Amino acid sequence: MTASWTIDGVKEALEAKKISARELAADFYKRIETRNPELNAFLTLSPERARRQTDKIDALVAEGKALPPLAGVPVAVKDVISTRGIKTTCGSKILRNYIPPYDATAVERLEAAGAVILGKTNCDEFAMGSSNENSAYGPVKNPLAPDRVPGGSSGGSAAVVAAGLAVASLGTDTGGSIRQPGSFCGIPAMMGSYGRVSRYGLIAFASSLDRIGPFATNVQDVAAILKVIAGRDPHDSTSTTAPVPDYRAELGKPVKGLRLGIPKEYFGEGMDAGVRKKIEAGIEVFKKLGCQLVDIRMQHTDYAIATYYIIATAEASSNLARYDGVRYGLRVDDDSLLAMYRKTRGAGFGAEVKRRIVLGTYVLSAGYYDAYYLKGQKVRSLIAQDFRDAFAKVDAILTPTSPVPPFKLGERADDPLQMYLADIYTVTGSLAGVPGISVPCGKIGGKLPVGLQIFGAAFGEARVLQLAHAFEQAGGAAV
Amino acid sequence: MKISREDVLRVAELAYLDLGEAELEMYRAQIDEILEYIGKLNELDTSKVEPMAQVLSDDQTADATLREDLIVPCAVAEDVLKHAPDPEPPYFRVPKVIEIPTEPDVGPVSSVGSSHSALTSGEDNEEA
Repeated sequence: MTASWTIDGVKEALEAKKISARELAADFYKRIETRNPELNAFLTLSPERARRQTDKIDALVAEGKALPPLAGVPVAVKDVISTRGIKTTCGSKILRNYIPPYDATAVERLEAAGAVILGKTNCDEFAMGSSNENSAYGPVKNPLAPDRVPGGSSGGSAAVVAAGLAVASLGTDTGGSIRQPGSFCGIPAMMGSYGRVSRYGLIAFASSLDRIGPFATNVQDVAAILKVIAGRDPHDSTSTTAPVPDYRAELGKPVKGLRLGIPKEYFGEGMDAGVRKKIEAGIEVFKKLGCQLVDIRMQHTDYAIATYYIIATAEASSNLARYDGVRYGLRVDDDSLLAMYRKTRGAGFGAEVKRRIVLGTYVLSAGYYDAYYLKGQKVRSLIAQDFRDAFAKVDAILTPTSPVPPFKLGERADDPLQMYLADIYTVTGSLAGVPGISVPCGKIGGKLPVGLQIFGAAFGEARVLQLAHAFEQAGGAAV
Repeated sequence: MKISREDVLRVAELAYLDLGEAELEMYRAQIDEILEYIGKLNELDTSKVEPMAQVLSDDQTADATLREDLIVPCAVAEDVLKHAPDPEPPYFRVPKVIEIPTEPDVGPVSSVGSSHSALTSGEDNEEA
């Protein structure tokens, strides 16, 4: 059994000179060589860049200088996030040879904090999917159950942390794509509020929904990573000017007496019985911690999937218009420019992406814009209001992350609507802009991980993390 | 039936997507089912509701969306052209435009076609 590294563990080992940053990275690359062929979680490895960073860190250690907060920590980055000089494919054929000329701000900040980027992780194509089965580079296997999906779209980022192939990773969440894979792979996974982390360098799917966030093996590490990547960025005008608290320092604050909302709409039919049992056990843990459970209603929950699949696909149809073979990526040649566009896009995009582009274009087109897109934006207001109303009464909201445990590969691949409906508990928070974390909440039959989701008010990440940490420390993962 | 084969063809044209016959029918059927489901939004009276066009309020991004109007160096052309499919610095080379799009402005997506010309400079400040 390989040891499980944490951010603190890495720091201690480096400072005590038990291991060098170079040796640690080499150790992780060896693990990757052994396990990645089966899991298909990494798409591209970046040993040269990793070496440049470990050399820097090892020099600091040798000189006895203070180490930055993530010094030597091996991390992985989802392949929709730009990394200068490292191939970035978005899980798509249309970007199969795209090498970004710049780093995403989140990547820049990770590296400035000393993290070692091991490579890029597999994902559903352009972050569209809930199982990582939509990647042009093959599916990812769930490390805890290799005949099952790791979740999506950040399946690779979740799998590498769960399998011990990285200490932490970055994923992205548009409708649940960080939280759900975190739930399926049994690890904590967080998305901060919309605007908390800069989207500069995140290859866009839906600009009013996309967020970058961390996976780690424990809540403290999630908090540490969020602190590093969050904060105002002049390159992203939708990033907030609100200051970033020291999330790690805030973790120990007592949660006794906090009011936790249990929304009736998230506990109806459609939830797997095994999931329900674990979630109820998880809620008991909060009761024992002295939290007050409050029944609440969030009446527009049932309309969230319909709203999400109008808005997200509409924004995607616009954001993906840039893939035309002119400036980067795949080009399918032709005598005429417009035929080149059509053939390039026809050949380069997978089925799910095409489906969403068609749907998104349709709901924006003349004659349908009011009935669909405008209507969707109005219902989105109602959903956001549901959350604001709830947070007038409670400090946080508890829900299951997913109605089902990790399903088998291929089980939902033929029915897009069925796949979409699995996002039912996560898209609400995406639409409202609020932060959410998924924390491990038991395993059905001792094998299939279940996740408990905690929503907070906008820019209330500290509270969400406090609750998640308290839950974890109280043994929530083993219910 | 909410969406016809012709609807899908029209939309695919707007989105510059080449779809095969089998794909066409598959998407038509799937999108038809999805649109049926989406119809449930009509259960809600939104006549007095404002659309949520922005997620953050002005004061959450205040003072920060505008900057001083200063010219800063932006020498990215070489980097950007390095990995282009067919670069001829400082240009991206593309096939010439033989056909002129016959559809007039029918919505946001159709403007994609008219903004490209045969030689597009790599120095353009288009969104990358």
